[in-house]
Amino acid sequence: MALNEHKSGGAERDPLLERVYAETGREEPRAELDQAIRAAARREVRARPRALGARLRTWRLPISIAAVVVLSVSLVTLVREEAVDRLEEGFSPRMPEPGIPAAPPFGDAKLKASERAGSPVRTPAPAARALPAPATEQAQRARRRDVPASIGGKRAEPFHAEIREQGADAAEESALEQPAPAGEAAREAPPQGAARAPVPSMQYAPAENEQDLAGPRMLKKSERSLTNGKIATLLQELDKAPPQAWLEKMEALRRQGQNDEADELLAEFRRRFPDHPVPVRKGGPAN
Amino acid sequence: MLCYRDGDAAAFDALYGRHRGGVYRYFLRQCRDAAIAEELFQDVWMNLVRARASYAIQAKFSTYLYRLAHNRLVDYYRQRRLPMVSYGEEDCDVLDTIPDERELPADLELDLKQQAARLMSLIAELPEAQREAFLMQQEGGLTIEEIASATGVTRETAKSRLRYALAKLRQGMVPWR
Repeated sequence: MALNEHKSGGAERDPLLERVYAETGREEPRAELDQAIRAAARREVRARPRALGARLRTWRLPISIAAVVVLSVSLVTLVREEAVDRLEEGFSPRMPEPGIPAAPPFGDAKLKASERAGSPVRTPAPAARALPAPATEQAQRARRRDVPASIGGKRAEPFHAEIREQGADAAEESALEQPAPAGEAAREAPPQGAARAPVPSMQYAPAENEQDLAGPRMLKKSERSLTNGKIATLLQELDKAPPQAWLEKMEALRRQGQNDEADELLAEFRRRFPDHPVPVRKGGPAN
Repeated sequence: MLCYRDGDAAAFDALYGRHRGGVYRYFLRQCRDAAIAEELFQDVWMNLVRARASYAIQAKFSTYLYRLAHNRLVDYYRQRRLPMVSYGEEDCDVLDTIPDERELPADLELDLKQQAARLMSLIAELPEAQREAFLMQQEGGLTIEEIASATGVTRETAKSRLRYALAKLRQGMVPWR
């Protein structure tokens, strides 16, 4: 039967042969030989208890895992600390210098109140011109969004609030220490911010509306016009004049060919009466 | 073997106890000389002990052990300049090497021991390669693939050797079936 299986390409085993083979002599090596071999094996182990390579092979995986974990934790910690440092560095150059009153940030109610009371118009500090305050704040907000919540929420926000408070207090003190020059004299006088020592970049010109804050270009023009003696005289004349008088004056200037002065006057008019319509002048863009 | 490699001497005792008889008989039936079989047997185990540090799992331990035994046997043949009959070549005609049935006593009432003796003589008459394949299967419990790995031949060659060996043995044992 097994032979038939073999002929048909079956298994390479034959149970009958195996049974007969099991009956053959089960010779074994002599006991002395066994002892000699076993003793040699034990001597080998005692002579070289364990190869260094074998020990390293055993610990390779645990050591690798531990190294990966340690590196990951270190990296995460480092990145978090760097993020906090960067955030703090982002604030520190704009910190108000001691002794110099800082203006409150954009939208502060106290500042608006003091301005309404007649405080001088301040020009933005050079740093503030390069990067308008709202944009700076936006950038800071964006940076805060990048920082993990635990950092941005717990550490950065109180810090930011503290600066705001400091700025508001300083502005209040400034308003109290320097009573606002009333009327024309205030506008003729050079801006105090420009005459001062460098103003921290956190400070920027307080304005009545966002258009002024968002448009440093217009402030520059206003600044130029104020330094111009002729325009300054015109502004003195028109200080309390109604809008119609401004428009008539501008029209008169244009008729005289003094377009530069008319433009300067128009810029100041826009600033003072932003919602007043300006009639379109024939052959010109406006008035 | 991994335990022994890592310094556990008791693991060697377990391995040795499991394989000592099979390896010894493998040599004994190949050489048909107890002294030579013991010498080869000892060499194989000593080689294993010496190579323990570099041991790596590539196959079953029994395959590894019988590869050492095969290598030692080939070295022995080479040293003694003995002809390695049919090593690396196959029989084309099985019937040419099978013992003649007519030589067997037909009227002899044979028990199992006699069958065993007959089988031993048939094994001794097998070509070395076929005998080696058969002994590895019976003593070491190796499969065709493991025999191929231990002897360094392809699976088909190992299978062919084993099939020839079994065919001859079956044919020699026909009168007792």
